[in-house]
Amino acid sequence: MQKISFALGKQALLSYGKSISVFSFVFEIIYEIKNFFLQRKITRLILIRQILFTGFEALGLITFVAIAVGGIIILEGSAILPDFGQSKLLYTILVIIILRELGGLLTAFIIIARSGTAIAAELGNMVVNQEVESLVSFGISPVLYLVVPRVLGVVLSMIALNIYFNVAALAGGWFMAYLFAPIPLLDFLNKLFSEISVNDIASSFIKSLLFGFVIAVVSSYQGLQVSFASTEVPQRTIKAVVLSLIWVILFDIIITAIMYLV
Amino acid sequence: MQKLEANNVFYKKENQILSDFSFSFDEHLYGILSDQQEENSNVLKVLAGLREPDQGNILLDGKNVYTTFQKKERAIRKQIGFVFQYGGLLSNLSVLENLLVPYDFHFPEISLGEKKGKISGFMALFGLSEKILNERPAKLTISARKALLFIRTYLTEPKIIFYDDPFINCNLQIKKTILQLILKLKEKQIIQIFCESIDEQLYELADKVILLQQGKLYSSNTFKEFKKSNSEFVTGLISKLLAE
Repeated sequence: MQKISFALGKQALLSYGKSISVFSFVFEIIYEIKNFFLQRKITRLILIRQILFTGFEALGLITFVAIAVGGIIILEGSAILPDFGQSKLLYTILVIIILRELGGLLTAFIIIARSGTAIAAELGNMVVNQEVESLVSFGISPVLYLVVPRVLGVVLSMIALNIYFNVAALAGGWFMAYLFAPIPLLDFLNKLFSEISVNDIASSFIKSLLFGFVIAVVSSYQGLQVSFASTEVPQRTIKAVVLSLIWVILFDIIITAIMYLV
Repeated sequence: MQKLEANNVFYKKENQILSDFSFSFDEHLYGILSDQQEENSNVLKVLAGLREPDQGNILLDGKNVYTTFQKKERAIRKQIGFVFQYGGLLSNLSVLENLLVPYDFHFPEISLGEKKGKISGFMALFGLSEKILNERPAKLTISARKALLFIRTYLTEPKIIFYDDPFINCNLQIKKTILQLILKLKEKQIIQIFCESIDEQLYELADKVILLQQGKLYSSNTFKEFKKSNSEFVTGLISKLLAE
């Protein structure tokens, strides 16, 4: 295993100036996750800070967006669906849009905007300031010390924020429904839960896990691709955002398609 | 006896930085003086295993120093210290956290109290206040940051130390401390290799100075002997250094 890692990840660690394959990079991350737990003493702090930044500090924005989106869906649905005699579909639409699609996607977009950019810019500046090279000189793998805690932090935060987004959006939906046609919370929840399937929950979980991984990997990879000039940092940050968006949407399509096929 | 051996090393970026360079470094203080002064950092980084040579290898106790990192051979990496010319301190960590990163990595068995004690000793030696231990590097003077690079390296007691322009950005007190420490380590027969572009003092103290001409080994001797040389190349290099 170590030999394979050596061969594949060879370029990923030292040759910041050279082009390295994303495949080698991902392989190295997966390999180093095991070592991350062995080296908790030096890596724990980075993980905690990443969770605080990506997860905790994003709560305000997530709350606002989630409640607003949940409310808007109910508002639009209540205005349009009765015209087609389909008022009963309101909860189905709310569950499908929030749990299966928007919850994961919007959380991912917020994480890309806040944490993806921060990771790419921070790692890029660390390369310029020889911070990454100093880690190499101690014999510490930059992937182990810098990338793995960020990947784990973003993935865990993404899962937690996605759950939080879903709950907040559904709460926003109830609040809006209550304003227009007061409905007891218990009735609302009963109708809602009757629409939620295991597939919806699984789809939401898998998406948040994958989105978190993709955002952290793409952003870290782009950050470490900076070679020596600080002018490269914004360029790489933009690339991290664009590629993260593309990959997140692609994975969303693939998982949604698989879920409908299963 | 510990030895660092460079065998037919070639390394090229825009210029040929090392060309068929072979040299055996044993437990002494070495200075490298090159006609491509701007490439000094790269020369040291290749020798320290931070850059991969295009050809040839650098061996420490028979092991390739570049691949030891790739293979995660911590025991070998622990023996090599590198003092960077600038930067190198992790900007998102406090000074104490910075000093503890390599220390915790290589010596997890030592207690935090003991580590802090050793750090305090070095801080006092460099005339740095312990109050800065909780500050981020960006808040410190350039001179203090440079001193911290030395402290971080000395804490793990490596057997080979590379210094990239050790006196650049140093105030007088820190320079004096560094000189004392280098001489102390010289007595302890630690392999020390440096490139210096603004001060000839360290070259005077070096056991051997290695002259590089377009990346090729030109000659190696004491600085005193080189000063007597009539060679145009040697006098040119020395006068350039003295002019700085």
